[in-house]
Amino acid sequence: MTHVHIVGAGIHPFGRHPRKTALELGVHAIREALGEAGLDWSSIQCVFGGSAAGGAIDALLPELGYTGVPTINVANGCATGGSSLLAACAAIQSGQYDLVLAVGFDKHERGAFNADPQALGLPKWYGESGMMLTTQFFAMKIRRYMHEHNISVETLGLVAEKAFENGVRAPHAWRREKIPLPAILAAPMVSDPLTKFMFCSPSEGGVALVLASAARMKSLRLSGPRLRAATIRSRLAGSFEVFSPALTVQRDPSPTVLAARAAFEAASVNPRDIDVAQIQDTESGAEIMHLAENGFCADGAQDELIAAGHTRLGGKLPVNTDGGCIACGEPIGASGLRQVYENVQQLRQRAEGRQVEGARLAYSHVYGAPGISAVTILEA
Amino acid sequence: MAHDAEFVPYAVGYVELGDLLIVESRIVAADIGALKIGMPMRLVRERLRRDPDGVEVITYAFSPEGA
Repeated sequence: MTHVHIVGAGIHPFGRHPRKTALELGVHAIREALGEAGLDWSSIQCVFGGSAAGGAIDALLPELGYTGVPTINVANGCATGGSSLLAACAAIQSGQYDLVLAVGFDKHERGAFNADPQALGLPKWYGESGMMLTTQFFAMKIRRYMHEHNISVETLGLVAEKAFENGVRAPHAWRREKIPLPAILAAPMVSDPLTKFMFCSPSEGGVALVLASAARMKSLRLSGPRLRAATIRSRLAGSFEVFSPALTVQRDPSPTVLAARAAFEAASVNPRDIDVAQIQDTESGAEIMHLAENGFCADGAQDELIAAGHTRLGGKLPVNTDGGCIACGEPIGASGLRQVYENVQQLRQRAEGRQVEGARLAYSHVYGAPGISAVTILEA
Repeated sequence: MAHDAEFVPYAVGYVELGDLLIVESRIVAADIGALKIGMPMRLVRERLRRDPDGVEVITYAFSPEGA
């Protein structure tokens, strides 16, 4: 099969940018990605991208140029970025194109996302009775997990503490100040057991990646990490996902488990081969559970691994080296691509201040409502 | 919506009905800090609000058995 490489990666730093539109954040990221590869906008053959609240991909054209390029909008909740990348990769593997752009940008209001029950096929009373809040789902999922697998509240705090520490070192992160563990644990409770500093917040930002076939990369005299796997899976009938008024008694594996297995199989590698991982950390508990769901540890092993610094920079498997969603916030359309951007920096050995020495295989996992997971494995 | 009203913490959870189904529900308890996974629960009704005509809108909820 055609090998696909990432030959350019650009980002508009995440955070709050009151004087910029979401489209401007997207344009900034695209120009940076093209600039890195020394390519003109006119050379891009197809664009896949998404923004939940910032406008259509087509609206980037007035700024970038009306080249007639096909623009395809991707909408897949928080997994939008991963989905755009998968589509771009498949478009190259199909043989139809050899130079494709994946882009995501967004700009959200402060506060939790205000989901509309009816848009998700749920009754209005579900929202009205106070049950349709994502923070509650994550809290209930980790509550049960802590009960079944003996995970401590302190471990939740350590995940957030690491996120802020790593954020200090990543120029594109939003929250770039250390927050000590006691302050994290003592912060106002949002959804028990998760405090304010354990959650990621909706934010603003943009990311663009230029993908090329191996042949095109060579003819352009470019280089870049190879996409060894890009997979996406949706939920099964019995998986426990956000916005579930009722569940079957029997649990099925989560979409993350399915996407991870498929990715490891496609890349013919094992979790222990991975040198650095970016894992969906909507909140601290998500990172803990996703470590196991992605195959990086057994259920219940996290307390010991995290206390021992296994997932910190310098640990055996550094996780969320740019601070993840907790330090970067989440602009929906860009979030999954931000993880891949960070992996590209790690594999190009230019993640200054947070470099995982000798990183060769990098993993990313993004999860979105109502139960979609996308995984990529990149090789230097 | 009354965003300016004072927020009163409330509990939600998943309740298993025999071996048939698990439902998400508000949980009514005198001390929500004392709720435990695995507690037996019973069905109760809870008042949500009054509609514009003054009629009470109620919802299903669960409460610890024997509380």
